Amino acid sequence: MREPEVEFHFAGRAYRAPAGMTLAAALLANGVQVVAHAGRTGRPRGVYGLGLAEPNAYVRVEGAEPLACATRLPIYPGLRAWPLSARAVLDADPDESRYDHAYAHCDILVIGAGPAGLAAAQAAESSGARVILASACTSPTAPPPATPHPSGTHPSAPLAGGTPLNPPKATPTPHPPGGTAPSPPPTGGTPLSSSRAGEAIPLHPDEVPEANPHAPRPAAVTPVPHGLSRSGEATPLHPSPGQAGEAISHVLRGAGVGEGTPAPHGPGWEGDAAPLYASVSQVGEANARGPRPAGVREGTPVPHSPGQAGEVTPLLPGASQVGEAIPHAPRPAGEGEGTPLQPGPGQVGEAIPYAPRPAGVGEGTPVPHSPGLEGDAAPLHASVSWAGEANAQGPRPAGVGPVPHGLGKVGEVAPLLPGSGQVGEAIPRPAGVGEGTPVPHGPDQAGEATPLPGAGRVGEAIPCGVGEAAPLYLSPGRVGEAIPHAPRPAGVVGGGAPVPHPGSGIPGTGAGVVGRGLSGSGVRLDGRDAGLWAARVVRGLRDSGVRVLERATVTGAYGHGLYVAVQRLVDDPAAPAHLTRERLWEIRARRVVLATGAYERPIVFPGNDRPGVMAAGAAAAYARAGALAGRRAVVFGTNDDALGSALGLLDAGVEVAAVVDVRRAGTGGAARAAGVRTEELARRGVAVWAGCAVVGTEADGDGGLAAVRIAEVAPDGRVAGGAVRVECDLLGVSGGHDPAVELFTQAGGRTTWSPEAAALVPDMAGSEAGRPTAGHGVPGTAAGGAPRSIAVVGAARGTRDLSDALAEGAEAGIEAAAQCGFASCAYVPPATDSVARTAAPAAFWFVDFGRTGTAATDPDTEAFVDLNRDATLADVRRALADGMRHVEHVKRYTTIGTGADQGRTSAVLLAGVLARLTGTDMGARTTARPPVAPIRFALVAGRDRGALSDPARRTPMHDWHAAHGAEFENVGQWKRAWYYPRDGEDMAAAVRRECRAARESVAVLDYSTLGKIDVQGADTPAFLDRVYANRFATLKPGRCRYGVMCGADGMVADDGVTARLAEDRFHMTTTTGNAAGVLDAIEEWLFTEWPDLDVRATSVTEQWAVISLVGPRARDVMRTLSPGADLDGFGFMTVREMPVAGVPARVFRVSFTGELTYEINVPWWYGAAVWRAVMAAGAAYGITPYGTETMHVLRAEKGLIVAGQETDGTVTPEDVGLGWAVSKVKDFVGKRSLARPDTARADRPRLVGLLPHDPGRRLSEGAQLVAGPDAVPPLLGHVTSAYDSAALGRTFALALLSGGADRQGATVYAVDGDAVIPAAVTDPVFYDRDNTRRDGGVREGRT
Amino acid sequence: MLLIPCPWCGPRDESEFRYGGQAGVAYPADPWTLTDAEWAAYLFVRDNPKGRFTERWAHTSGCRRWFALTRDTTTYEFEEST
Repeated sequence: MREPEVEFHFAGRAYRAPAGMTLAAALLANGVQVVAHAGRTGRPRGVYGLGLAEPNAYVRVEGAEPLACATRLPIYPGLRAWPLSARAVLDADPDESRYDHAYAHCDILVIGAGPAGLAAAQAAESSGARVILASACTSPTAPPPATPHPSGTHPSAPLAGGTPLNPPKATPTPHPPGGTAPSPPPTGGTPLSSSRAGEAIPLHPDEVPEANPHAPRPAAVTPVPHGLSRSGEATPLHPSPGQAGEAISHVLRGAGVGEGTPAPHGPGWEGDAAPLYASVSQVGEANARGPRPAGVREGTPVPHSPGQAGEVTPLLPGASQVGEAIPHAPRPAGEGEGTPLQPGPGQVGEAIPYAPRPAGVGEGTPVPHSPGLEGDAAPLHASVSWAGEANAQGPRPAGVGPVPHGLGKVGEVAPLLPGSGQVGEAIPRPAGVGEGTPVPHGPDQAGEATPLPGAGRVGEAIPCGVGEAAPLYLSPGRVGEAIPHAPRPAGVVGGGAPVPHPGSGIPGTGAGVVGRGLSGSGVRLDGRDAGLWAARVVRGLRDSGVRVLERATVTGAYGHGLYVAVQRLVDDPAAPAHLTRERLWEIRARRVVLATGAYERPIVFPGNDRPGVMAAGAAAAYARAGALAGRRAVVFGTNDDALGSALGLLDAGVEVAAVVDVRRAGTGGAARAAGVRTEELARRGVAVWAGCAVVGTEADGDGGLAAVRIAEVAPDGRVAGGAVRVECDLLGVSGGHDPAVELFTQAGGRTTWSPEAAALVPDMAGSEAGRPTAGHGVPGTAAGGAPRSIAVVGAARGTRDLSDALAEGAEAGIEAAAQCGFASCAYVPPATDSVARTAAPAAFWFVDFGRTGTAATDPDTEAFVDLNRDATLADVRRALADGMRHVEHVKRYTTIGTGADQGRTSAVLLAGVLARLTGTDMGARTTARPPVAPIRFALVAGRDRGALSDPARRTPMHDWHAAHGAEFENVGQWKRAWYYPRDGEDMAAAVRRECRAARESVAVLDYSTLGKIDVQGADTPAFLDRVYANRFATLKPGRCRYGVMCGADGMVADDGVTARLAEDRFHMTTTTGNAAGVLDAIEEWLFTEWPDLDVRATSVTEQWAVISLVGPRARDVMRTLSPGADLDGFGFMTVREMPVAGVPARVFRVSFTGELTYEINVPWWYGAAVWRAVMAAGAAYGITPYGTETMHVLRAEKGLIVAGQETDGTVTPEDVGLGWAVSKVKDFVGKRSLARPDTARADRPRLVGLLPHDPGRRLSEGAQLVAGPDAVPPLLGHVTSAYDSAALGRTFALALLSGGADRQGATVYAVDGDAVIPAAVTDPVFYDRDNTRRDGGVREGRT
Repeated sequence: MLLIPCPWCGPRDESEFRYGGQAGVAYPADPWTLTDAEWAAYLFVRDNPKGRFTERWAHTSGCRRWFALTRDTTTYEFEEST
């Protein structure tokens, strides 16, 4: 059998759900309502929203993610998630090498693939611009996800046990007009469509060809969310490789539905909104449990009069009616194309979805609507009809059943019904219903359902194969709300409508695939289902060379058109390690079109945090994806989208007990609001309570939502009447939509309040004029605040209607292309059939009870403004009482907006609440900073980790050192041999041994890292005189001189020995770590101040390997290496070119140890060979390799400084004892600074030596020096170097000590942790003060 | 990250450049004629305008040349370099 589902664990319990769902959707589908507990109050919380706009559902993924958002986390086999504990804990090693970076450039970057974004991309591409489209979704043609296809079923083979798309039932199944009759469905199946079953993949024949190509994607890997499949619409391609090939063939479409056969189901597909998918499952369940209770009641007279309210029977628009009509399902595929389905009554007759719907209704029977609609504000009680206590107790069939909980039952206030009369009739209890037909919707669901618990709900599975099978594409976010139920003329939200934006995930889809929002929404674009249109557009864009980044969330807008996107490729951490899990894109765009959608805003009222309270659009989207968040819902909103969401829930099989709209009838907005959608709701038996609000909620035993209280409210939120109680387990809330402006504001844009949109929208002032027509895509800000290179379209700028969004997208795409120099094209956005305009939303922030009562009973303490931070309206009032006013202050005082969702569900809400509480105009919202969505550090690091985290520079002798046991230390990027321990020696022992060898015999250091700069040109001597404090013009060719270099500020910058190779050529050396800086400084002077000098400087650090041969026996070794050379005449501080071990070399007679030294420079490539020759030649003398630690001890014994160790940018040459090197004659860079009085202060730091009183005590470098053992200030200086000396037989140190020259012999105290160590101040040269050893050994008569 | 139009290499990422601060601050022809205060001003005092600002850049990971550009510090837009 097929394995359509994935098993995952949450909180230790196993669940199953279709692959591709997000964890949030999967939990909802399994009836898991409580997924978290609030951090501060401990109150239970459930999934609230979609994608990025999720305040509650954060989890820990065992072994993978310490903090993951369930609405963005796709489930996969073996996923083990836990509610987030108090602290995010990483319980597994970071998975390395699974993240990489990619770079791209384009003319135009379109962010968001909703209708507006697609129109923009199409228009820009048509103009010839290079376009990149970033979408949070998976595209239709993406490589299929991997779900092994169990059976290599033949395409047309019916799936065993498959879901009959059409129940073999006598039910009239409408055949597609002109289309092929649906073939008989396989028998004995689950009513769920095969699609449900992972494999069922609703591949559309059309897709097949494309799908294959990408097939080869290892199963586990699947980057592509399978979600789609589930949803019938999406075309999911099917993942598994295996499948790929075959899968394709499985057009599981209904059995018969083969290629091109119009599949009968899913009305959704067809473009009309009707289908309910989810319902399928429910149906199933319902059936499973037996006869449907409510409707069942045969012939029960349904009393609908208001008065009777309480007692009676409910009718349900939904299910019961279904009975015979088989409303939705059968919507023949064929119709998809072009058959306009209009919900209208007229159609009803035709089996269109709601058709069965009460005859009465269709016919113009007065539907009971809310009084509000009628013009009076009285809450309505349409509910009456639903009421019915009796029913209430009956089993509640999943969404289907006519579950009765009536408001009436509970109602405290008696609802009134406006026209009771109407009600009565209205309740068009469909005749059919009465008949006891238990089967609710769709034929498919027919009796035999085998509903899986969770899965069952996944009704959607309905494969869509129909006609176009294009998967949908849009961004998930858009899903829900966007384009909600379009067919209803009323409002389609533009631009991918409200909703989440690039990064959001779709419920049910792993990545946020499917644009379920479009497909099945009923919206038609250019005459075809919007989802199909979208898929087609994406395919066309790809074919045209547009790079479509799927599952990519743009997280930041940076300077000059740089956008960073996170692309999720593989979700399962157990996937093969060679697969990239996420990719960070850096995209440079000249122009950007933001079509990022909007986030649905919550409303603040007591108890708005209970599990079961959700964003209305999210609830509808999940339901459409097959994850029902409840069985009986109330929808509470301020706008037309809320009405659309209610319809969406109905379509999905959720009973809608009431729709509560804060807008009142009679006002401009409400008048229209009472338009199409309201009528549609009424037709379906749902009343809209206008001028009302949900003012409270009640919880069941588990903390989940059990009921809401509804009361009349004033437009400003004040409660104006008594409350009516309505039972429900789902409350969809829609306080409007906040444009996703993060990227816009990051780029410098500002927002402004739009009364029309009742939202903070991008302030586009300034964007129309003054835009450069060429350039680098600089997102600078014009006067009005809109970044010039950015256009915002659709819901992201507050546009509500689809046609407007499409027009904006097209215009923005054409204009952006024109700005990039492309001729304007004649692109025309697709035509939409949406006729009616949406009515204006109301700005409604919170239900206001006034501030009454004590804290314990203050309803504001349970009215949450920020669910994630668990901060309430009471907290905001407290902040105001304590003097906060500005939104940024209140944010910090209350923490609102600082949680994991970064204020996506609370920032604007807070601004609105504050404006209302303080009686001021709506001001700014808090600032959104990058990243828009969390980015893991591992992704930022990408491949730059471990050995690749920083370039490692190695000398040619590196391998020799490693082979001889060297320990290495990092010096800049260099790996330098540190010391060479032998036979278990510790570092101290090894260093003592190495030091002794250098002082007593011969030792050798790899000094290849020494910075080397070849300086040439006729003016080089003059140039060096300017950059060095001492004189170089007088240096004879063949000789070397130590030089000290200062900055213009007179402080020591670097030092080193420079040799004159010829009149116009010098070999400069620098401190290893300063090589690049010195070259930069030289070039800067040459380029910017002294371009007249004939001087060129080039780094030759890596051209010369350097072997420093040191010690009294060094000359003996050299004789072996360079037989015949005149070593006796090779004086100190001279350089010679001579062969060494047969290799041409430059040998410098310098000394950094005080011992006789030959610094043998050979071409880099010979470094290792010469080193080996040196070791061989010195073997007779016990030649000892030494590392940097010994080098430091040796140089410190001689009082030789290291720039950067003894100097720190604040010391002059004089301070470190190099006054002798400062020319009194010539000028040089920095000399003017040395003439300041400050450099002559007597208490300046001065380099001194320190000998701890305890000769065995080694001071710590950096230890502060004080005058007394009580360790109190003033601080006199600090220890710069400290070692244990073999030659001295004790420890010693170098230090910078204030007034050090006058403290010789005094005792100072080094504060080393808790110890205060006395030490005597001495001269900094500890060894061979008379330099008797540099020419080899101690000369007679001297010491 | 800025996209800096190097006169020699074309627009390149900011990470390839070294910033050189305010342009046009010449090394005094004769530092010894300056008072300490004037010398200190040369060393340490620079403009920090909101708006147009001409700065030096060195394309250290590219052509290694120095050049100056005028940029608007509020919008980051570069003016056409000359």
